[in-house]
Amino acid sequence: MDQAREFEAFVAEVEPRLRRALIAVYGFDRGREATAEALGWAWEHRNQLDEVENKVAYLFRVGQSRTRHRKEPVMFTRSERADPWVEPGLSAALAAFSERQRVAVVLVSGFSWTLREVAELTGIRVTTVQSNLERGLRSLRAAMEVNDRA
Amino acid sequence: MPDLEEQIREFIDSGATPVRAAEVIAADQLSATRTAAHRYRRPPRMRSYAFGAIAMTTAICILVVVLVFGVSASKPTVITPTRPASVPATWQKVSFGGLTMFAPGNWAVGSEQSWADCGLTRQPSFKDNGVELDTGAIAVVYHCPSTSPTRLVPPVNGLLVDPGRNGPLPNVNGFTKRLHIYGLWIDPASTNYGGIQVAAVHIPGVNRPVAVEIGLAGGGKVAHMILYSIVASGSNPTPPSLQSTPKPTSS
Repeated sequence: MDQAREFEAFVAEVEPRLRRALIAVYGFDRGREATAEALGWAWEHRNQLDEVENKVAYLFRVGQSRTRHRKEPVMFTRSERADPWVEPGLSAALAAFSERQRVAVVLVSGFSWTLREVAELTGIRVTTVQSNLERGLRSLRAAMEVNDRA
Repeated sequence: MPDLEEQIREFIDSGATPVRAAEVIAADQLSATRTAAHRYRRPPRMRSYAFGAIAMTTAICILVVVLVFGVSASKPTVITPTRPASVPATWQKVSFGGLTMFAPGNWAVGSEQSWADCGLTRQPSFKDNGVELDTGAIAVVYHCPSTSPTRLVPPVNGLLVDPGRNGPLPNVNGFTKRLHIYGLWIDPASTNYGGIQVAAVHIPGVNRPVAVEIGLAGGGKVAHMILYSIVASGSNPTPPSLQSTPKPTSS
């Protein structure tokens, strides 16, 4: 039971960041599924995980490796929950991005991750993350007709 | 309407419910029960083990063959030309990364294992008047040229082929109308980044597209001839005439 409680605390700490990152990569359904897979792995290997320094980044890769074989387009289809108050073009604009651009835009711009955190998560350089972020935001603003100076 | 950052946050968080610890633990227990039941029902059968071993051996043999042919296909080679009619006699034939194409004979052919990502307007790997065959196997940290990202490079001559995991394609913002040439699907980038046309070349049966970059100097005529000489290595199609095919984007 102690282990279950410890795992609950672990999930409460790690799950939001992990889920957002994987949803940014795979879309809502596969992103959530990958999160569940990664956390399932974490539960199975909870003793090994203590030694891992960046648990979110590690589990992100676990989630990726467990869903990588499925070549499906990224889907940001609406859930059954109430529609959020967002521009209707946001979904299509995000889905059209490259994976790296989408991750950078969602995590840095939407959830205030640092460039270094995204670089550690994805295993690419900080400058590349920054470049992806800038390009992504430029495209997103253009797609949604948001003026930079507004 | 909230600002863009808030909208992204709201959009992502509204799309999927959080994964709860209890859900994960319950799924694990269910899986363990199923596995135990399955293990109980299945008696040990030597015949099935033997079949499994044979299947495994066959799979390993196929894998080895695929790897050997895959690696040898990625080695840069310059071959004595058997050229299409539209290609000048002085041009050289270049085969790399599963593709074969022609380039001017006086362009030096170089090879590279690594890709230094400095964005598409500042490309240290692209050599003027040269053919660069880059495996893209390694991503390197590179001191990028200090050219402003907004200042585009002037059109240059040159060709770069990169079939690897590190290359220019992730930096392409969008692709224009897809071309179908000699059985290959070619997606040219919608922007030519000042002087270089980037294209993703899809070889049938190969998952990762090959990045091909061609300099657009001289109004893109040389680039056009190179682009329309690309075939999958091992194929021998009849090339179309240059007049009947559209030019790559040069805006």
